[in-house]
Amino acid sequence: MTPLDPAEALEPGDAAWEGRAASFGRYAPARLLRLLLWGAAGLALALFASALFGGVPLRLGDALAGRGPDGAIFWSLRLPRVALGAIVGAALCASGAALQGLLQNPLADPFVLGVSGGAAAGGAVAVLAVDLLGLGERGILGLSPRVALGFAGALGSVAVVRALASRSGRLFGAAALLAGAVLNALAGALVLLAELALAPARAQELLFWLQGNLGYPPPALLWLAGIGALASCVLLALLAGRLELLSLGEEEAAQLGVDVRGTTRWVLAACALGVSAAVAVSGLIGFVGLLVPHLLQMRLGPDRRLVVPLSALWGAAFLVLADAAGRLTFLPLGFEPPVGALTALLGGPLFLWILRRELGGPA
Amino acid sequence: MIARLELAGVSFGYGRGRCLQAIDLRLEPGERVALLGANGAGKSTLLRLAAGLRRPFLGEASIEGRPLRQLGPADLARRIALVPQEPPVERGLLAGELVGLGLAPVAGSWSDGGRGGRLRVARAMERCGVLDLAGRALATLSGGELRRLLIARALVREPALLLLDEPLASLDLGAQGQILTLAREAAERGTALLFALHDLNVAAREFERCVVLAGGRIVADGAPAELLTAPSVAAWFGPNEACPSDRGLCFFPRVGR
Repeated sequence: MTPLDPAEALEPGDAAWEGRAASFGRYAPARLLRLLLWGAAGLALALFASALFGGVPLRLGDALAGRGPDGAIFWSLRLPRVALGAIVGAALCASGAALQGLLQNPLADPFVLGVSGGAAAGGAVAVLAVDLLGLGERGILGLSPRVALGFAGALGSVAVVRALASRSGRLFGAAALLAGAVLNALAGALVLLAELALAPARAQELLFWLQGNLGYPPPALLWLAGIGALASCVLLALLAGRLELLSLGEEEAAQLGVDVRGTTRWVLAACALGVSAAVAVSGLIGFVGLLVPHLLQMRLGPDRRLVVPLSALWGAAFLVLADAAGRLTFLPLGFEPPVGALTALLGGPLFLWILRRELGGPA
Repeated sequence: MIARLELAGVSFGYGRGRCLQAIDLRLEPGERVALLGANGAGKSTLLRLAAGLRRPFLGEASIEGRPLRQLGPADLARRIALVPQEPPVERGLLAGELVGLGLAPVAGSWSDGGRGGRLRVARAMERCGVLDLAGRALATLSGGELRRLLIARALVREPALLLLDEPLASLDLGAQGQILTLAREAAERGTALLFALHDLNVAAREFERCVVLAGGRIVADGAPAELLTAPSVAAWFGPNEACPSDRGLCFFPRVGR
């Protein structure tokens, strides 16, 4: 077997095929690079616009130079919030795209592996402990107990689902989805009980977090979440080539040279890290992890090599813009809706409209 | 000569049962062998063992003198291609993209193969008569077209050993002829082929060597004219009507009432 040589000797008739052969696939490394550049530009624009516009109009010069109150608002309030949105959006959407491939299920979202339940249960336990035992709010590494236990709960639930749904190293996709759903339901019951035991204000705080919110994170939290999300997205993007083969089915992937067990393990680990970090800092922001990969897939085709890395970039941009839209739209009413509710409100109809269009029916 | 595929004393089972026992099988370069056996005889399992997708409990499987267990998944995939019975999970791929993924073992999962790779994909599709389908979505293709795409995908990497799991099932006569022609051509280029088959008449006519699996063992290995007699076929595959033809016996199902 000779290695692929661009100047491989032409056989008679090859020249006539070349034009057609060039259009064989929607994936090409050059196209990926071009799309990544576009995505990065789109994300930069979304970040900038979202940080610039808000409740208080900012003077561009002062804001960028860090002068006066405008500078303070821009650098220490809006930018961290916008960065948090980007971190969470990227982690959720890259994981969603990866899990849809790994589990060969278009309905897989980042929370399918019990992450939402695990995080909710962990967070509820933390809030309970603070409330009932009178523990201090200062937790581990400067993180609040809710964030720390939410992260641990999310990570733990993936480990539990993986253990429940695999036999001799092989993950069974359908079993993983079922185990995740049951775990989420169990955790839901636990959280309900916890809310009964909590003081109303505490219960409200827990509920607010669970609805999915981008707040104004302290720098340490932002850094930790950022590192987790970045590591997760980079790892998933690097695995996207193997994920593309894995989405054909396990045996197909194996006979095309993929180390199925190793790849599955790494994809799960990367998803668990990214989604747990996102959930710990921002609660359950639903739907983006399903919406953005699907929108990209409708535009670019199903190839995971395109969809996974671009989901990270456009997911970040989408969440940042959705958050900004929420802040601005509800400004006259004097409150901010949870961004999780907004993503579903904005994205749901859009998704359904596109779905109808794809089916070729009346929109 | 070093055998392309050698199974030496191979045994395997799912769970506790044994479904293959003490299998000895050798394929030379350029050899085409029909693998026969009743439903559940272990044909697909044997192909999976030969592809290195399953590890034998006992014995050794090797390709070109190297034990499969010493080769990583990528090394195996460069040498061995398996054409599965089932079509791949449907999720909106185009025909050309499915075949293009066959480059992964040689070019890496991130490459589209460049110009050389695209030429290879085009050649394989042309050989299989599916080049015109390149831009079609898999969901719009017939079973026979899908089967030929999977064969094209296997040919892209020009494997030393090509394993086909019932490639003729559900195909019309024309498509069957195309696939058998492809197999001949691949064998002429030196590829060793192992064909799991149900059609005894095709096996008798088209193959010089047949291997028969029954009860998890190889019960016969040789020229079809000698192996496929009325009593032996009745014992291995069930009641049948054997009709003489100008080129040996033809077998048809026996229909009772």
